[in-house]
Amino acid sequence: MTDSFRFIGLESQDAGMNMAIDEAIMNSRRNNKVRDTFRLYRWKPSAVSIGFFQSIADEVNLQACTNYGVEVVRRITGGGAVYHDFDGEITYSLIAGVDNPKIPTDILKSYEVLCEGLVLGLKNLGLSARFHPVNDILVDGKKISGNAQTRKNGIILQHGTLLIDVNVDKMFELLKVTDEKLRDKAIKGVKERVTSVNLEIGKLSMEKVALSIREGFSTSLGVQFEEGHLEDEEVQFAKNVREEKYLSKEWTFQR
Amino acid sequence: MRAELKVPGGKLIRIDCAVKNGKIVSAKITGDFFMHPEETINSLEKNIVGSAISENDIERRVNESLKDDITLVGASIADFTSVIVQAIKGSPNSG
Repeated sequence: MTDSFRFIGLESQDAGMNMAIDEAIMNSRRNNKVRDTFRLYRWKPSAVSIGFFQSIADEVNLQACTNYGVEVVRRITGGGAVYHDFDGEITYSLIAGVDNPKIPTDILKSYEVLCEGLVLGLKNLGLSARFHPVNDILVDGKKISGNAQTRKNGIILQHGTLLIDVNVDKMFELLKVTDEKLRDKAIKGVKERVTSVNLEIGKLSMEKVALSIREGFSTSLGVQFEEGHLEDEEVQFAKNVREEKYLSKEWTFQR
Repeated sequence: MRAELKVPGGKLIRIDCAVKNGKIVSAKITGDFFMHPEETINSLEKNIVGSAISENDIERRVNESLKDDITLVGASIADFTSVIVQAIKGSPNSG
């Protein structure tokens, strides 16, 4: 099942459904119902996702999220809190069997191999990007992408972001900083260390960026991406998991 | 008590714990690190509870919880021990 990937093109879902679809694909891939899959998506409405191990109280300003209509979801992957702006970001997810020979068994190495897809995608847009361990991609020393991975039941899920447009001030209204006394300094620091496609090359359509990401991953993995869609069973699984897990207080507020 | 550690070149680990009669009675570990499999965090927290507030006991329990097939990214086993020790040093019972 490694000769080609199913490709699910850019679509927009709410936070719970986006996470639930990733999980549904992992489930159907584990049961050998589908091929390895690559998916592109946006968050509608905009949302904050937090890493599996993070404390929601420490990381997220829930009142500000409510005021902005920004959803909050806990991921099954570790890593940090991310603000996914509907107009400012594209997320990808890659779901594959751990037996896929293109993907190293070693987790650290696999980040580098998988992130190469995004590096090539950015190259297609004329940007010189590079992987920065552990899980970031930088352009000119500034972060443009963060990535997170989990492995469960013989299946790898890696999802990651590509910043198209960044609003650091809004991001810091929604997310908390470790030390409130250093808030201004933290904002200034992030403004200096983060960039976006728009900042680097100007405004491009989401579709053009999505196409570049798709081609980047297809090239770096050396596999065809064939247009596909979610199976009915996956959609049903995702709807259930969205409702029972990702929208539940037990899951979201567990830490 | 709370302590946190930003691992140089790595991730943040934060611990909230409580100590009673010289033993850790509750522990919650949070942060933006990666731990595979993720559920290991639950057994780690569970194993820390009951620990004497001594570096040796904590180190033994952390090592035991994170051995074998556990992969950490952005933090090491020693980092987890270190942040817990840092937290209990702030404990009124730690002497």
